[in-house]
Amino acid sequence: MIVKRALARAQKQSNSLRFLNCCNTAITGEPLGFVRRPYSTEGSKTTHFGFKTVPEDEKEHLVKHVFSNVASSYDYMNDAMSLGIHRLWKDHFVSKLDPGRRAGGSPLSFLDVAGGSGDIAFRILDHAAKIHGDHESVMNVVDINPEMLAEGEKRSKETPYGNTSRINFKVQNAEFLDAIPDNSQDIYTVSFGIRNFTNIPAALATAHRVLKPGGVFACLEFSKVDNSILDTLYQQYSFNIIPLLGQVLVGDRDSYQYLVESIQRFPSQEQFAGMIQDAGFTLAGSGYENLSFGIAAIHTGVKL
Amino acid sequence: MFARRLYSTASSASKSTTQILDVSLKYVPELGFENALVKGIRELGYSDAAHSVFPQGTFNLVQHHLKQQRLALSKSAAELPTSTPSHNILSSLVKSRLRANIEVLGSPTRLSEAISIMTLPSNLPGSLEELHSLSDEIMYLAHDRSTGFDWYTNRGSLSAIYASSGKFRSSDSVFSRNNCSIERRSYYYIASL
Repeated sequence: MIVKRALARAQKQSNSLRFLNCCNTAITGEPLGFVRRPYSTEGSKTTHFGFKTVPEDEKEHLVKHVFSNVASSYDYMNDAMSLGIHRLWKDHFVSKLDPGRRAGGSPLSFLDVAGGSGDIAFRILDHAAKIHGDHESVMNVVDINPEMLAEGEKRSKETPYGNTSRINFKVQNAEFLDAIPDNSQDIYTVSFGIRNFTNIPAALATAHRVLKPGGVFACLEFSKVDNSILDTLYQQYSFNIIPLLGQVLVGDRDSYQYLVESIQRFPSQEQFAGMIQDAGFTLAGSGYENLSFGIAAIHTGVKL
Repeated sequence: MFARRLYSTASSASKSTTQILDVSLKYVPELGFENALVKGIRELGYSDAAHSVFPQGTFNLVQHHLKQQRLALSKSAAELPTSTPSHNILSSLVKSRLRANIEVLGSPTRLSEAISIMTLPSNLPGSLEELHSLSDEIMYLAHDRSTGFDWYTNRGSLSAIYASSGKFRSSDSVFSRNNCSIERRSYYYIASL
């Protein structure tokens, strides 16, 4: 038992040196394996990074690092982890939002935040074109990570929106969105990105700023499973199988360990709906819809 | 920030949504429910995307109409002389409610559009809830004092009477014939209690 644990620890250290050296050097200055600190390292404000506690200014850098590692295999891993269901979730998300210029209206402006890979962006433009015959609305894709954005730009070349003015890619921090003017967007979407933000209330306040009156904030994110038996099974799957899949399929266990820990850390459906309401949005009904028993949830708020 | 709200925060949220619904209802006679909602949103200066605040779309507009008319019933009941017998109050309230449908919605075609929206399977629970609230309201205003199982049968029968009269009216038939049938049915009904 002890030998097994020691072996596992040694394996973890050797496999994760690339990732850990970076983040642990940044935090403590010592190039070692996992060192879990229950107290804050400096006097500065701290936040959570998965189950670790890190200084706030470091989290952005660490998250960027995680996504730089996973950028090229992002979709492949998503398919493996969710058995392809993430495509259904995203399709439902976009059809529920029903984006597109209505007859007699002006072209809309969409903003997809932390949407580097372009999943939601292309779905929105396709939906608008197919269902509403809208070929003029503009999509802005922003992401803090330039590699994910480059991945999205590469994929956009294969769509009809490739090099046109209908889709723009910008590197932006969701808490500030410096390049996006006030009251300019009709729909703000964030899909599986908001749990990585350092300061979620600031991001919600910025979303409120950039949306036009009547604009919609829509968030697709992992959430708490409502059934306790299913929840136990889901936790077992998350913590045991997903990091293993990450290790076996793409050789990066730690990024996926961070992923499942960050899911666990994210507030519940009601808490998050309360945060959205605090930012000034009007909720429709309870403000959220559970998908797959609460594994994912769509939160919607309208700026009225 | 992370607190679970123990009180309802619906009031501030519904003020702006009620405003949109009120404005949209005015356009229903000329445009129909779907376009009236879009026009109401645009008139108040909101982006077209604001339709997301109504998760059931046009059914929320229909529900708003139903609720407004139900709440207006107490005003109509107050206008009747105090000595009116129960079955007369009953029939006059049902008639004024049916009349209000036509007045607010403009024509029987809009009424049949409303009924078709209400009978969509996803909207059916909401419509039935409104129908039951309506018959409860009418029975209460008609001084119904029944207890036990009668409470349920009274309201159930009134719902049936109201629904069939409403359906009859939506097909643009002769009003006077329909009026007599409501009075006859409600009289027979109260007499049987």
